[in-house]
Amino acid sequence: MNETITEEKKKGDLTQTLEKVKKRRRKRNFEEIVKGFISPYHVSTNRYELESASADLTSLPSYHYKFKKNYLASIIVRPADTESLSLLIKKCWELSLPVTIRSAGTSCFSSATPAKGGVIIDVRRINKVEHIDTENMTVKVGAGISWLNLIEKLSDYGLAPKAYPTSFKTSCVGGFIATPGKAGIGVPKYGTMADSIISLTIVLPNGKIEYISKDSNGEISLEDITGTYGIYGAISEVELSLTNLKTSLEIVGYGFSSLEDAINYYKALMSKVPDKPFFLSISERKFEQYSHINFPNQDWLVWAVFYDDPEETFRSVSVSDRIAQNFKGARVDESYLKEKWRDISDAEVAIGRTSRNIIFQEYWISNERLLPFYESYLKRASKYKFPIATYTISGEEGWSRVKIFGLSDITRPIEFFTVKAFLHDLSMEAFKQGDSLYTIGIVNTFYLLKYKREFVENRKVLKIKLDPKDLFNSYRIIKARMKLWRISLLFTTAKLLYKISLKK
Amino acid sequence: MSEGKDKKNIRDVVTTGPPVAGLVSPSRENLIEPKTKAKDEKFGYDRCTHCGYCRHVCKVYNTSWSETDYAGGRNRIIKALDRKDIKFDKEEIIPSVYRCMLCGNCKVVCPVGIDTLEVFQSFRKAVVKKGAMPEKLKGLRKSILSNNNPFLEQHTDRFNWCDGSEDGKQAYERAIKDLAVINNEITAGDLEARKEKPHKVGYFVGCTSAYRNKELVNATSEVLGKLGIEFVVFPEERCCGSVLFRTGLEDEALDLVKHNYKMIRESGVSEVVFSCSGCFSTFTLEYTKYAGGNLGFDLSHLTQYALRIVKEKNLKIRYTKRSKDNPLLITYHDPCHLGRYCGVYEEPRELLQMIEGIKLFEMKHNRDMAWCCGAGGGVKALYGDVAGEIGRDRIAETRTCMVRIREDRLKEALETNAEVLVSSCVFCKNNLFQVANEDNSPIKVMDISQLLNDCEFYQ
Repeated sequence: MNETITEEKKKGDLTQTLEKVKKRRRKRNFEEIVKGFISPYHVSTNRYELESASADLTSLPSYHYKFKKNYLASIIVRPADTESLSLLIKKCWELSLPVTIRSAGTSCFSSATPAKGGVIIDVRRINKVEHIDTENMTVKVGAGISWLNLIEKLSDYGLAPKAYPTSFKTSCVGGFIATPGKAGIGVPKYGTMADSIISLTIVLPNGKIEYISKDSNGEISLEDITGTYGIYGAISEVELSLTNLKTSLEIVGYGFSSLEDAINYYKALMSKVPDKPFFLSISERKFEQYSHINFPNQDWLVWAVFYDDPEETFRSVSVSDRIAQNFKGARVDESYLKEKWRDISDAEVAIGRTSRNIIFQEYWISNERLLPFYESYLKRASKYKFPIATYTISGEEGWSRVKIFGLSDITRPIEFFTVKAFLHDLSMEAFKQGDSLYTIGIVNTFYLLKYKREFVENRKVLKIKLDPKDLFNSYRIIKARMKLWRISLLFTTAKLLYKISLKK
Repeated sequence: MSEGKDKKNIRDVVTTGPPVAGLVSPSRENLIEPKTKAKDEKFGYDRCTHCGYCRHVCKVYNTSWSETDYAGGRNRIIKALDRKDIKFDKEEIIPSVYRCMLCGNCKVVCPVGIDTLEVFQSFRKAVVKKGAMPEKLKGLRKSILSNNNPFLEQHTDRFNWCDGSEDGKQAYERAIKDLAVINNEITAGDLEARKEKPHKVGYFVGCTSAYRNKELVNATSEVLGKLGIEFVVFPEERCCGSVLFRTGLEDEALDLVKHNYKMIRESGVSEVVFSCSGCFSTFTLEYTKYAGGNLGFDLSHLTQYALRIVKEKNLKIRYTKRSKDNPLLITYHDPCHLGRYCGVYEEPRELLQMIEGIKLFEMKHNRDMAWCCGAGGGVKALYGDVAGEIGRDRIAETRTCMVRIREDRLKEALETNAEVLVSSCVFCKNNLFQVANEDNSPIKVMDISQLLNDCEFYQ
């Protein structure tokens, strides 16, 4: 009996070893083939480079993206154009290699993290400004260009993108299309990222290059690509409609002691001001307090940026000032607002000065349900002793992205996981009231499976057609890496332990 | 791309935005001090939120596109090594450690205030202790320790440059005379017993200027002479140790520090002037630390010193090769070691603006956001000349990367329409001069000492 077991074990070990050898050989062959058409420097198996590239740019501790060791890619490749990207993806398809597309990696929630190892395709080198049409105000660019580089380039022509993320200093054009791109700078005035896209070039999971415009009638549409985390292919080039640089920028800001007044003012700025704000935000006093020495006294700050010609901005500012009086708003010092605008990219990162690990969740809430959601947030937050803060930015018509932070330290695991539990409870509540999360990535997919079943099933149809083996940006949208019941159990335990620790 | 007639000069576009905020470092005045910085915290990397803002300003990343090449990516590796999530491999880790110019731009933009320079220098020190060191660095170390310079040159040839400058020669002779007096009159540690008053100003030349850029030492000596300063050099001068400090060999630099420090103290000078920004920052940061915060003599870069003397003596400056009506158009490149390391931004500008016959234009990226020339942190020394040997591998690409970085800087200087790019660091001058030369660029590159040497100082 024992001998049979030993024999079987030996056989099993041998099969495993052979598999490993095959895998290693396959990887080596792939590397050699790819080096034939992409500069060898941009084909790397250096373990340190893989470690760095196999993660989002996030403040969350590593366990968050290290899915049972499958997070680590075996190879990273950086093609420089659509053709080599296509050849590369075709080769991965032939060898059935898992692929993760990466650009700036700033979306968080493991949006750019491998979930099955395999190949990371970094598209940052596809970053050329191909064509600027000043007459029609359009630009064609490589998807890997950073927003700031594009903004700088366009400003030489007196042009600017219509919508871009607050992380514009470091994020990329392609990434903002693949992740929601529904809230950010310019969005309240000009619409979402999707609204700016005239056409794009995508490389499908089989390596086929597809050109898609608003009028395309093919199997894949622009709508399929925006906000679907690259599950249908890699975006390589984008044509965007632009706006011209404006001549006047004015900032209006009011402090409120009542949440209801603050939200009503925020909503009024979107609906009652003739020229919609270029940027609009609400923030809690604590959000300002955790990073600033001097900050407004009131509990809630609502501020808007108007960016247009002087007559327009003057009118908008006058109307905004008038409306603020209806809600008992107290004017905020202009220098503080200017600082907020200048540091718009840094604002939420600067609260990292208060904690070692900023934990956060981004909620996508209808403006109609913003007040009850915030009330629930406040009620829940009052139960905990760790620092919590929030701010909101206005997104596409009628929607807002609410970002809630818990400031903790992974070296205090009970508190750390309780912060996550607190954010999880709010996520459940958001979905239950018909709202959603802003960024899904890999980490938040299980919520979609539970609460947005129809949306998931619809996405699955095209996914199966284009990528039947599910090798391309796996575990986004249609499949979850984690299970809701396990997460709920973990967080319930964490909350319990937290309560006990408080009593001690 | 459709450039050309449609392209407008950004200065001509009447607009208030959108704010191209990346060009400006975010304001720090109203931000709280990082609360998580524990007293015993040796390294700040643990506080890295991986926001990626250091990535945009990292010139190495923006040419190599490797996630290990900017501060946040490197911090991730340090964290992973700390947690033992990843094994230490003394060969494979080298590019992640050394492919950094230590320019410090990441430190300027870090929203949580991490001292990235301190982190990465400590990281280099730690990996060297574990046996990881680029081959080229081993050679540099050997040369510094045996020859007192990194160029494998004879120590006895260090002052050969004096032949090219009458002021330099006189400074050397004064120093030799002083040395004899010191040897006769005092013993070490008994400085007060000295009868003859020593010279007040010493000029620390530095290895690169002494052996490779004699024109800069000569120019500096002449400028000091024109300012009417009776200065001395230090005949026993050795390498300041900058290369060792920057590349993780700090422990081996201590003997050099002790020697140079003792040498200067015994010379009796009260102020040391530097034309090399690298030596200046090493004295300002490392030597001062070694001396417990008080060196016992003052340190000045030539730009600071010359400005002060000009003001004290109420002098005027005229560039002799041009006139007020036909000024030489220049732009100023801030060396990382003088700017971000020591905070000297305004003095060079003030000095340049005082010169009649010169007009200064700023590059887009200036002061604390100035781009590095590409020569810092040992990148040029370690990877600069190996392209031919290694061919298409990553080190060769690093050379390409370095070339692109300096090309970018030169391109930015050209955009100002300047005729001359002026710097105040021998490494920046050499690196940018090289690319200007290779590209037949219309812009000339020179050190500020050379420009000042073409000036007349008068009352």
